[in-house]
Amino acid sequence: MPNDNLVVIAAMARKGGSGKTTLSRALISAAVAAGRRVLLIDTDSTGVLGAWHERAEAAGLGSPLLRSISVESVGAVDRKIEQVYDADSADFVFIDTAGVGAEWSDGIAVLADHIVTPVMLSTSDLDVGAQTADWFERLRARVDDPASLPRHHVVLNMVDPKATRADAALIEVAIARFPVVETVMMRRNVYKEMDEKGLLHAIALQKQADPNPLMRPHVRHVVEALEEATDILNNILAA
Amino acid sequence: MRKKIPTITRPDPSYAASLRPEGEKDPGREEADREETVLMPMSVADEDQAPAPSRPSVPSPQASPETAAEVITAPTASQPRVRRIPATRKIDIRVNALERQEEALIDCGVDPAHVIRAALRRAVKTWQLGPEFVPPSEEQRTRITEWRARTSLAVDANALTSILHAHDPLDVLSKWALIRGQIEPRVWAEIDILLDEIAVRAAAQNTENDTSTT
Repeated sequence: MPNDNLVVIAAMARKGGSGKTTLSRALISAAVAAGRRVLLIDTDSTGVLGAWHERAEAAGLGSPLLRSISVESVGAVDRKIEQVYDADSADFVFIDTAGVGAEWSDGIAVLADHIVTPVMLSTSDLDVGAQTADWFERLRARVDDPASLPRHHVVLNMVDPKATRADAALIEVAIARFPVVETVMMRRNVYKEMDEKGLLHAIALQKQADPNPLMRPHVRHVVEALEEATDILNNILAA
Repeated sequence: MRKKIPTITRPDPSYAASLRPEGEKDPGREEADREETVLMPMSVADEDQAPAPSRPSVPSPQASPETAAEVITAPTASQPRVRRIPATRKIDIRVNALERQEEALIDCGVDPAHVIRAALRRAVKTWQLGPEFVPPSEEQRTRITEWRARTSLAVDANALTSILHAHDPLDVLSKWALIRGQIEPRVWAEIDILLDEIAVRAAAQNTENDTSTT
C-alpha cells in the first residue's frame, strides 16, 4: 500500500556553510528517535551526509530505521520518492542539497512537502537567506499550481545560548522577513559530536551505558539537542 | 495519493546565476517562455542589403585578424534587425511504457529506462504540439515507476493556449494532462520500433557469433 503520510523535507539554501547538513542530521535524529523510518537522499556532490551515515553505521550509532542513498539527478530523486511512496518503505524522506542556487533548485523544491532553510544570525547570512526566500516566493509565479508547492520554513541556526542585544535585533529582523520556525537551533558542541559519531539518540544511549560514571551527566546535553530538533521538526510538520 | 507535483513553467535565471566562463551564452536566454522580439546583429552575408557601412574600405595592414573582424562586424552590429522567436511554454512531462511492452522491455537486454528515454527523445525530436486536444489513451501503462522518463519540453505556446481555451478554460488541469494524448502514443510507437531494432541487432550478433564459432 502506498504511504499517503510520507513527508518529504528538503534542506535548501543558496549559501554553503549555513548549516543545512547539521540541521538535516538533527532532524533525521529526531525522526528516527521517534521511531519513524527515514530515507536520506544526499544530492550534494560532496557526499557529506551520506558519509556521515556510513560513519554512524560503522560506529554502531546509526539505526535500522535510517537508510541513505546518493543521487545525481532531480529525476532520480523523483523516482526514489515515488518508489518509497509506492512501497511504503519510509515515513520521512530528507533531501540534503548543495549550498548554491541552481537550475535544479526548482526541480527539488516542487518534489518536497517542506523546504527548510537554515540561516545564521548575521546581517550577511540574513541577506543570503532572503535570496532563498525570495526565490521561493517567485517560484509561486513560475508554476502551474502554486497551491501544490511545499511550505517554506527558516530555522535560525547557531544561535548563541547567551544572546546579545544585537542577536535579539537580528532575530526580530528575521521574523519580519522569513517564515521563521519558533524553535531556534542553538550553538552546541554536541552537534560536532553528532557529525563525528552518528544519530543523537544513539549517542545519548551510548553515553548512558558508558561504564565511566563521569560520562553520564553528558547525556543531558545530547537529550537537550534532541528535544530541540524534535521541536523544530514538529513545528515544521504543524505548519 | 502522493501530492501533486507542480509544473515549472519558466526558469529563474537570477537565482541560478553564477560566474560563467568567457564567451559562454547566457543560459537564461536559451528558453523563450513568451514571444519576444530579439535584436539580432546582421551577419556578414546580409551586408549586401545593408546601408553602406561607415568603415574604412581597406583594413589597415597592421591590423591583426581579430582587429579586422572587428572592423567588419562592429558597424553592422549597430544596425539591428528584428527576428521573431516563436513563443514556447515549458512543460514537465512524465512518460512510461505500456503494460503490454513490459515483457519485451525486460527481455531486450537493455535497461528499460534507457529504452523509454531514447524513445521519448526520438518521439519529440520533430514533434510539434497541435492546437487540437487529443484525449489520453486508456491503454494500461506499466506500474514499474522506476522506468518512467521525466523531462521538460518546450511546446508552442499558441497551440497550448488553444487547447486550454477549448478544453480547460478554468485552467485547473495540469499542462501534461492536456498534451499527453498527443505525445504518449508517439513514445509507445518509438518503444516498439526500438525494441524491434534491438531484437534485430541481437539476432545479427548471435548469427555473427555462431559463424565465428563454426
